[in-house]
Amino acid sequence: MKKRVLLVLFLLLLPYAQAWSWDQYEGTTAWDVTVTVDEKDCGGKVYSHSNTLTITHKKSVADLTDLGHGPVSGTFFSNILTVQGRTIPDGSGTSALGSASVAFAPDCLSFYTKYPWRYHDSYQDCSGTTAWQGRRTDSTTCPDAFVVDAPAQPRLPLPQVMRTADEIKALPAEEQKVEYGKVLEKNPRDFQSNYAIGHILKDEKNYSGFVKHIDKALENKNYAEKLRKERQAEVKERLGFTIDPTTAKVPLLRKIQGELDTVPNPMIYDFNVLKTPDTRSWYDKWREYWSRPIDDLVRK
Amino acid sequence: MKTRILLMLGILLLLVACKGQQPVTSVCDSKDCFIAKANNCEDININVTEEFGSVNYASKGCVFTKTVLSMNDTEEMRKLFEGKTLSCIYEQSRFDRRWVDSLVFGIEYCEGELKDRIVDMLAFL
Repeated sequence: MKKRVLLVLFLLLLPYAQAWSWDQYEGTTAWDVTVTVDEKDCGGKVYSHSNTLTITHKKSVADLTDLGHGPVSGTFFSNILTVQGRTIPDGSGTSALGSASVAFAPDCLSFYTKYPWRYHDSYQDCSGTTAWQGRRTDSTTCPDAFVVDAPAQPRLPLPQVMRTADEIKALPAEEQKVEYGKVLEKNPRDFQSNYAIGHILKDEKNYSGFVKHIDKALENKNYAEKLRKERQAEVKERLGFTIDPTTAKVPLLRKIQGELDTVPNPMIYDFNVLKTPDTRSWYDKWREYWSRPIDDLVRK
Repeated sequence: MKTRILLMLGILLLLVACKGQQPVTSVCDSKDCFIAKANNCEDININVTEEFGSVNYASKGCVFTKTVLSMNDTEEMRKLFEGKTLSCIYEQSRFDRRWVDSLVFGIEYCEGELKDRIVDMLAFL
């Protein structure tokens, strides 16, 4: 009898424990991507074009074929792929591309992101945005590898209708804020909702809200640790470090650490940040305060 | 008639002299001097030996540029940082002195490979 109860409990809990996430997948996927570029500020217009995209997944690292600015690599954290900002040669000038957080839908069939950029040459200095809307073309389900790992389970009704953070990410910003707010009402410490709403507020130049939510997200020590390790691995690979850069080995790191340790009144985006006595979480926070929209480059 | 020709020659000479003039670039030998002139959007350029290496600070037309010239660091770090720049656009009298006093603070308003590298390094703290 006891065994039966345990079995029922196991079956009940299994679907919730086996949530799909791209950061566990290895293989390739194919997509059709509509790329929409807004060049109005540069004297152009808004235009779209379609591209095919192949993503090579290596768990948390993903390599994307060219969508217009050359092939790129990114880092998956759950179902969000982060592509770091970079500066590229563009015509007779350069374009500084902002970092992109690509939100993949939980059904594995679509993704969306919009990132800012700033173009500069000897004649003009202007900014715009590029959006990617991706549709999966090689399958209508999540990759088979996942199905093998998690055989079909009896589908049980969810206890309540609550969108996941990944589903919310695909909505317009205003709706996202409402939906994340609902999640945070139930669980104020929810990492993904705090992290995502923080970045929406940052796009809206609400820096106090941005810092507040990033700080709250990073109270989840496990996520903060995971995020740090993934960023370290990504940077180490991208920059080709043969050693793990540490403060003991790298003088510049000691200089940066010294600044973070001794600054009396730290500010970012003209917002005063409260320093924490715990240096580990202080460094974690400061690291996550970065990716910012390029529109903010002109200091007002 | 003679006066007219002399007047025209005078104007011509004045025009040629004006055309030959270049914008004046200020000279400084301290960070404070640099900051004051940059804050006023004057063209200014200075090389400074910092704790981590040698840096060029330049400002022209309210655009500040920081370039790492050389570093006292590992070979890998030197390859990653030497020659890298970051640029910050500002309005007159809004120069942020942290751009020359600090490596990290204030660069949220800047762009460039040097900034990207510094942000990358934060991952290793």
